[in-house]
Amino acid sequence: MAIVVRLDELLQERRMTLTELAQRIDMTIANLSILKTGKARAIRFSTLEAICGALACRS
Amino acid sequence: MKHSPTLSATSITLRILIILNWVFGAFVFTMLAISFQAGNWTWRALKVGAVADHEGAAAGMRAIMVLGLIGIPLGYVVFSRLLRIVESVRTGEPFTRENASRLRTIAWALLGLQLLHVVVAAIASAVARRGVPLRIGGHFQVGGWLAVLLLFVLAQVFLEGTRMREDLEDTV
Repeated sequence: MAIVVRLDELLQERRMTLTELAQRIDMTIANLSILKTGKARAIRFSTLEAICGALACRS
Repeated sequence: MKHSPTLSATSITLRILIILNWVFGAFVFTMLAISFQAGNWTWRALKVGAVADHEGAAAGMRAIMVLGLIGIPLGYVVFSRLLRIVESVRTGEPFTRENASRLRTIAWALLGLQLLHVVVAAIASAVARRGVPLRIGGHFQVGGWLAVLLLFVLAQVFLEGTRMREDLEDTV
């Protein structure tokens, strides 16, 4: 099953920029860009939790 | 760039060894060429003067020299690849696919040198049997063969290390 990263859509829905998200979850824009563009090979649970928290995703 | 005294010393040593390797190759090539013109003088200069008195022994000596010449590019492969690995450690990026490949190349070159060593020892032994004392090649040494095996294993370790580093780099 392919895992699709919808970070771009969620950011638009929440009217949030990548820079703002990076600041909120204390992560570099470079790393978030890797995730956004689907280039990431793996994601830590801590990163996932922080992103979900900041974007108020369903848990 | 890391300034480790050990790495710096190794780097300088390897550069010197590369030059000495070529110098030795030029020396062997010169002696081989001279041996066809002035055989007796060559064998005396190499301190194997008694060889000249035995039929076939001179041919054996020349064969050893040719094998020695074959070993020169193999030696260069070992030293130059090792130098590049040391340089990559100094720049802080040792776990790369290139280094894994370099280690494998060194292992093959070292295997070639070990095989050359065996052939040289066999020729020297055959010459010595004809009553000529010739100490070339030496005894069988486990160390060299073990180094070949270790290098093949190390190359695989580097490849795994590289994969792990790549995974870690792309983990967010």
